[in-house]
Amino acid sequence: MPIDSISDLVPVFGRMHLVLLHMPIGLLVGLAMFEMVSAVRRQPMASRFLVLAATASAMLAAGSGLVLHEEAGYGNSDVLELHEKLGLATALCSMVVLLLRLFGAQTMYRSALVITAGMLIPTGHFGAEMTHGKGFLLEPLEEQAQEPEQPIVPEAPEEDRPVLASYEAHVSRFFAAKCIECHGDRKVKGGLRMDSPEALLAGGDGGPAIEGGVAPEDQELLYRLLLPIDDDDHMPPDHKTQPTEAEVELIRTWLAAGAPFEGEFELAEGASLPEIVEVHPDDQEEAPADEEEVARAVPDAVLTTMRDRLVHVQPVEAGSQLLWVDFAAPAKATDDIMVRELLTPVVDWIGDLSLARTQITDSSLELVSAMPQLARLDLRETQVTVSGLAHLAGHDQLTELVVSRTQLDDAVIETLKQLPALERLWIWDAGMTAEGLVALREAMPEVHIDAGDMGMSVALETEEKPEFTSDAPPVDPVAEPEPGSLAAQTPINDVCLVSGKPIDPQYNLLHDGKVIGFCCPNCPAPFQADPEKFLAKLPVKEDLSQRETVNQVCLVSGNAIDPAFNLLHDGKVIGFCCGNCPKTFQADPAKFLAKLDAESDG
Amino acid sequence: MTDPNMNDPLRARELLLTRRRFFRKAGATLSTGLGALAMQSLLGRELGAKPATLAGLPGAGATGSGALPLGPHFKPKAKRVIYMHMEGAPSHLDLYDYKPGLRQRFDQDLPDSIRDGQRLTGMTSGQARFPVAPSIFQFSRYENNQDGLWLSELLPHTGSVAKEICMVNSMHTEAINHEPAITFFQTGNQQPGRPSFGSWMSYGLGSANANLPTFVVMITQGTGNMQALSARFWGSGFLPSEHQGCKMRAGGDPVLYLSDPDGVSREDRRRMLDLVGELNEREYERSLDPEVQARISQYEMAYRMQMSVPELTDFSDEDEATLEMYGPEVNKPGSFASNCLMARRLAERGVRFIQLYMRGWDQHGNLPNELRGQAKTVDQPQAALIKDLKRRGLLDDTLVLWAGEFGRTVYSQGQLTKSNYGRDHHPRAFSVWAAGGGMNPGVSFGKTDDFGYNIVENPVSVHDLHATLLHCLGFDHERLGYRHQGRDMRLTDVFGEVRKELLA
Repeated sequence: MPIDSISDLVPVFGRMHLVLLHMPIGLLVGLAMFEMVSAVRRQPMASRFLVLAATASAMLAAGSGLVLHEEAGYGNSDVLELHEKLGLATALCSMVVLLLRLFGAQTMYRSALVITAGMLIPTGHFGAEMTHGKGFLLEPLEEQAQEPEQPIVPEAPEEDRPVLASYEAHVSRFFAAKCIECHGDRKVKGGLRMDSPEALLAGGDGGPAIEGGVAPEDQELLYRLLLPIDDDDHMPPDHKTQPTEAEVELIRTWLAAGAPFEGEFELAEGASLPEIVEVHPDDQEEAPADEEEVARAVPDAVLTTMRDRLVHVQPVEAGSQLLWVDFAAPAKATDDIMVRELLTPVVDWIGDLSLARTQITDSSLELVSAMPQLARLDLRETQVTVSGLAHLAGHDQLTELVVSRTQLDDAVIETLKQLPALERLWIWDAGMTAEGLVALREAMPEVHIDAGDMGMSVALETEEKPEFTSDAPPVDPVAEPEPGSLAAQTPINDVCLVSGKPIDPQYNLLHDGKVIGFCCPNCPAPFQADPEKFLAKLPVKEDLSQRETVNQVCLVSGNAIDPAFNLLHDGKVIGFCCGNCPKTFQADPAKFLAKLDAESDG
Repeated sequence: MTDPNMNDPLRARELLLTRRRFFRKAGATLSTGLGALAMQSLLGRELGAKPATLAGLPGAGATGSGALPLGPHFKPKAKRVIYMHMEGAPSHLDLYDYKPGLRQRFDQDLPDSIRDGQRLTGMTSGQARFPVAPSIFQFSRYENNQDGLWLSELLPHTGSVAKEICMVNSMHTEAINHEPAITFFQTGNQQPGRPSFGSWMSYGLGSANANLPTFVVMITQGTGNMQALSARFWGSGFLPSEHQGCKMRAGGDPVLYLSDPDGVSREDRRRMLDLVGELNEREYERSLDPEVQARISQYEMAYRMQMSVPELTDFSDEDEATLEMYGPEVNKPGSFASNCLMARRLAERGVRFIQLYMRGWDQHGNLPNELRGQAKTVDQPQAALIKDLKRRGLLDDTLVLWAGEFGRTVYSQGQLTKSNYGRDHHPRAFSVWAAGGGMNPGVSFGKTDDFGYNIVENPVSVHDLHATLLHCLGFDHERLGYRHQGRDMRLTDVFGEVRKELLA
């Protein structure tokens, strides 16, 4: 390790920051604790030497930190700035502490010391965030425990000899690991392929990825890598595995070297070759679909964001990574901006998308066209037009499309013809002319097209008006009146009250709850004119309950007699206990009358 | 996503305990927070707790959770259901099951070989005779994807969508009276207490619109003889109560007490809910009772529904032609026409299970007159619903079901004349139909005997129907379960067979 001049040691001093920083922590904290105890016990201050040592260590730590900052590798971040300022402030404070100690101002010295020690907490915190990653401390408390960021401390080179890299061995492998999934032979997002030098130079829709004679930072390739992760143009997209610091450095150096595709180029001093972890896109897409895989494809945080905006999202089936996304709930508040914001992170994983009844316009369809796995798309009742749908041309997965109630015209046929996988199309009330529909159906005979004019089923035949017949013997309606009808009931009179002639049941009439019989259709009228007059003609039926019965107990049951059921039989009044017994009696009067005879005999 | 934890309330509670009690709450202070860190890693490893599955547990709210809902077992054909339940049991013989041969048997006694000693209801068991009553209505054959669908003259509009209808003429059920039969049809069990079909779907499919209930019930009063309608027909049984059906009323407020009283602004309501929510959270931390969670989510749902329901029930954005298609009663709230249009509007807003009850199909007597009125009420709207769903591309993933709880007897209850008759309850055979959602369109399935009394071909039980419908919705009916009283309960209990013949 030859050392040419003292200046070669400066970076080493910078790197010693990581060691030196621990000294003021130990000294200042220890001193502060000692002084607090002393204050309580009213003991003298600590030795001046100790205070001097603490101050010196703080200044050394701050100084080495400043040197380390000068070295490339940490970039400029808010965290670094905060850490640096706080570190300097701590060092300054420690000098104040030292001065106060030297002047013997006990109370002020002790207070300043405690404050200085306290400042170590935020200083150390931000320092740790730089090495361990932002949010390292509270990370275990986060619900979505995600893999901790790779430590971004560049590893010190083992030797000082230059580290060599090449396109073939390093740069292309990095592209394969982090870019080719979407910019390769399987998918060509943005028209860019990154799997060959020619393709890189040719570039994509936004121009070449690499240009000659352009500073590394102005190259589209590095520019995209360096954009903040929440920028829409940042690459790789934020839901994908991000490149490490060393990998970005590799690209920067490669570009600075003129982006050679052949031969080797030299990495910057102190830089190291990144360990490129190769990711095979096939593994990601065709791995057995279990819950782990789903979680990996679309981070829960992305789904939560969608749910918070009331967008429905769920796998198209259990275990699938493909999503069904439905904007039904926030439809009226859904515009292009919201769609872009929510769907961009999941663009690769949408299998079924409903934007029905939303406020989107054609510009959302550009995003939709970049959904490689989209099989069903519902655009019902939206403002999309023919030119918007044109974005979908060439989509080879779309099998079902709903454009009912949109403002299209017959020109849409050209776009629809360029959907090779289309099987079903709903295009009711979508501005098509009748001729257009005919042309559409002719152009795509194998596609099931529903334009709201579906053939209604017609009655092929109608049976004869039903005639009820029966091969049972015909029933005579006169001889056998319908049960339950008036004709079937027995009138209270024996002869017509008006004419005195025999009764015909078909002219029975219900009056005051009683059935009255008549001889002919003419008689009911005079009766109804003055019922009282005719009812008076009714033979007054004798009240049997007042008469004495010939028997003492019911002849049928042997129970006590209830006068209400008295019956006149053969000139005798027979008593019964209940309403059932008279019937039994009448069925065979002789049998029961024999009992009566026996009774009287006895 | 078949996490076994989800089916086990004890396990779910254990997991909740980990997160809620030991981790989140303990993290409130730094000192105990450190302890919680260690404990979380210990418990986390032991219980295999994964945040992703926690939020998918029954009881987790629809919004704000990062995890996916239970979801179907396999790719579903149908995403939602519109179930028109004809309460009172419409006569299959006068609507769907065409038996021209009966015309020659008017008033003949039903052969004993057909009744085969069946125990009848108390309403007709005392009848001296069982005279065959052929349908008084004329039938027509409508073009479908087979040799045509015979429908009664009462359903001309329904006939026009015959190509979409999957008719099952061979349904049978276990119960002979309304209450147990409806309970059986809704829950898979005659005894009350199980979750209804809609609740199972709410549990299984989850909400697709957090602004509206997942399971909505609407009722139309019939013109015929009406039977009681219990709210437990759309109850959630032992499932968390947020899965029960939400009944939307016809007049005034569609949902009772939804709108803020005079003098209460929406901001006031929000503040009140925030405070109540906080108190409920505290109670939940203490008791870990999932019903408290259900209560919290219902409050929030109601708050969002204050905005979504008025928009839902306002038909002013419907065009004339559409309104006309549903028939003259469409603007009368609570009519079957209005409810059918509401069903379409709910369907396109992502409501998963929409149930329309139509009352008044219990024609024990005076059947021809009453049935004419009932059928006229439903015919045009139900056909319009099918057409409207279809042209909007919604019929493909919306399963429409039309069913009563049982059928009616071929013999007349009470007096049989050439112009009037009645029919008693008949569980042995009846007809239901479905449309869309992966059901086989334009076909008829199953056959009854010449009297429409017994099934002679392809009987379909209620459990079979449930299993088949669940299949369309992406569920294996044997796997969609919930552990209750020590047993994994299912909609199909321990029965049911998917009838592939009914599938498209």
